[in-house]
Amino acid sequence: MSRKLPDRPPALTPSSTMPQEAQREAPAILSIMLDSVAQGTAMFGQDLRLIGWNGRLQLLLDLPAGALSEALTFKDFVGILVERGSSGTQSARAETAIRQLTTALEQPYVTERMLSDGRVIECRRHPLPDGGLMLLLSDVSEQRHAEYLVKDSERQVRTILDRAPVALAVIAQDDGLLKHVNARFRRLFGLDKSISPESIDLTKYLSDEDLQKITGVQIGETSSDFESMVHRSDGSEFWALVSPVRFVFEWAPAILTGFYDISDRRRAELELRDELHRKQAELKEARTLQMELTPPPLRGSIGQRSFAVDIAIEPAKEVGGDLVDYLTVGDTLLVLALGDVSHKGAGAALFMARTYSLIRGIAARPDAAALFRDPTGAAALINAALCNNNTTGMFVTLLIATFDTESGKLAYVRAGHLPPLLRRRTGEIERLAVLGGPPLGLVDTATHKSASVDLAPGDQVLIVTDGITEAADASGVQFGESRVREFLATARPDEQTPLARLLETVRRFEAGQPASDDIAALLFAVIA
Amino acid sequence: MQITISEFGASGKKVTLVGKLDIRGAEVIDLPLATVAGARQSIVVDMTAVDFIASIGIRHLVLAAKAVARGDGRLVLLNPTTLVTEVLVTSGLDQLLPIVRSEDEAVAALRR
Repeated sequence: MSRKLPDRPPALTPSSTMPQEAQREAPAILSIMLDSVAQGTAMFGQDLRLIGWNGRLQLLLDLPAGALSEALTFKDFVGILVERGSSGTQSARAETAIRQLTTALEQPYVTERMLSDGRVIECRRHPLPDGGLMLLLSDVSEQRHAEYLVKDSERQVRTILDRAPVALAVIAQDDGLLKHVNARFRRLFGLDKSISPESIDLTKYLSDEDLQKITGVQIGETSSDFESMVHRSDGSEFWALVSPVRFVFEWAPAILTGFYDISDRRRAELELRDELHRKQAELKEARTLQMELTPPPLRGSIGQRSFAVDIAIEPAKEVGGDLVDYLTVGDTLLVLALGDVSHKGAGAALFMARTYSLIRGIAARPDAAALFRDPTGAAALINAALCNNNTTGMFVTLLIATFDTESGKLAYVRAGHLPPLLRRRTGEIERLAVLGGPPLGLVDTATHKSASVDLAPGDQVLIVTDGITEAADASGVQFGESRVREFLATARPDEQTPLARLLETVRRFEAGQPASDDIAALLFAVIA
Repeated sequence: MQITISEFGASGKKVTLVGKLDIRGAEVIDLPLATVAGARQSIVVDMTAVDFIASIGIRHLVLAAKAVARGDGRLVLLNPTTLVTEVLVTSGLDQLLPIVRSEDEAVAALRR
């Protein structure tokens, strides 16, 4: 069917140095060899007419039998080749292809042609030394398709990067240079379209430390996100959540890095932190002021009577609603007060301060001695003031006890507060349980009654808030009055700060549980 | 803390509390109790299953009692535990928050 090349072409004539038998067989061997190669081959003589071709050529071009003949000129062959192309012979591209293949024949030429069935044929034209041409046609479809797929894949990656709703940059793993950035990246970093990615110097925008975090990201690393301050070239800055992941871009290892603008969140966080610091500072100051309302422990005397007052107070929060105070009224009275506002925190602290001011205010009145000698007078005034415009329902349980240093009598009014405990010098402990009335601030019509008890040297009176009796251990068991009594049984009038020991016992009992309530206590001891 | 509200008699409400009436419990009962009290109907608060009461809890009960009293109603506490009763009595609040031991007693107390 095909005219076998070795029949005539001088270039393929067996060498004269070959043995006779070999010379006879050489054309057949060459024919077999040429038919076996993957390329289609055609040879044209000096007159540019076809003088030989192999079977592979016909297969490649899917030519019918008889399509090739020795009379075929090179131009005709090119016409057949172009006709097989996907664009036929009529298009401008086909005309260009014919022109390029048929001019400057003394030069080697390589072109590709896609056939109508989608195959891509590479056509290599080589001039022969004695004139004439040789054509080598190869099916490069697989190679071109693979390249196309790669290019298509890269195109898709770029499309995805460009359309992603986040600023993205592809950074080369080896040199740290930018390979690609999307439009959002340019907008976020304030970069013009004309600036190529390679010319963007990231060191001007990010700190060396942050750049190292990006380039040092490992394959499969899941917690590589970090926050970074980015400096734009115009001097402005923004906070970014930087999210680098290892990536392959254009066949090279790279890092795909997302930049999320978190400036608003950071600003809000900073404002919140500033606000928190300000509030903490305010509360710290409020705590200092509140603690200054509490007088220090006292060892003193009025007239012939000497006594000791120990005090302990610990708010559960920065400020609290417990109140401890003592003051002298007139020449003979020592007034003790301990209260517990019905909540904790800043509101309770203000209510506590209000109560404290009322007690101190009453003590400054000309009739203070009368109002405290029978403390129901003071309690009534405090109650009336606290009930006034009290829409929150906040109240204070208050124990006011007035010790008359002349008579040795302790008069007390218990406005809803826990009963004080009296430890006699002999060791007996009794509750001062007479109820004076409801807590103050609740019922404006409430009337309170007082009670009194005679104290002798060596006697001690302990008043606590429920923050002590209701302090709980991990299992919920409360400290209770019994443990308060155990403490009181061991307290001695000459002890310097016995209440520190009580607080330590309570904290040990709680065993690390957070204090749920304010704690306050007052221990009054008649020494002589 | 759980709070359940139901009818009690012809014109009263029964508020049943279960759990600790501490700070968290007080937050839970705050709005529902205030809403019921705002209607100024008499209220029976069933305290049988309240095992702890803090001052903040007392505050909410007192506020409700005061609101009900403005409408000529009453608020009574039904059958509080020994511990809760002791707190209320020690605080001198049993006048403001009367304690009853049965529903019949509650009906009688609300009629007064």
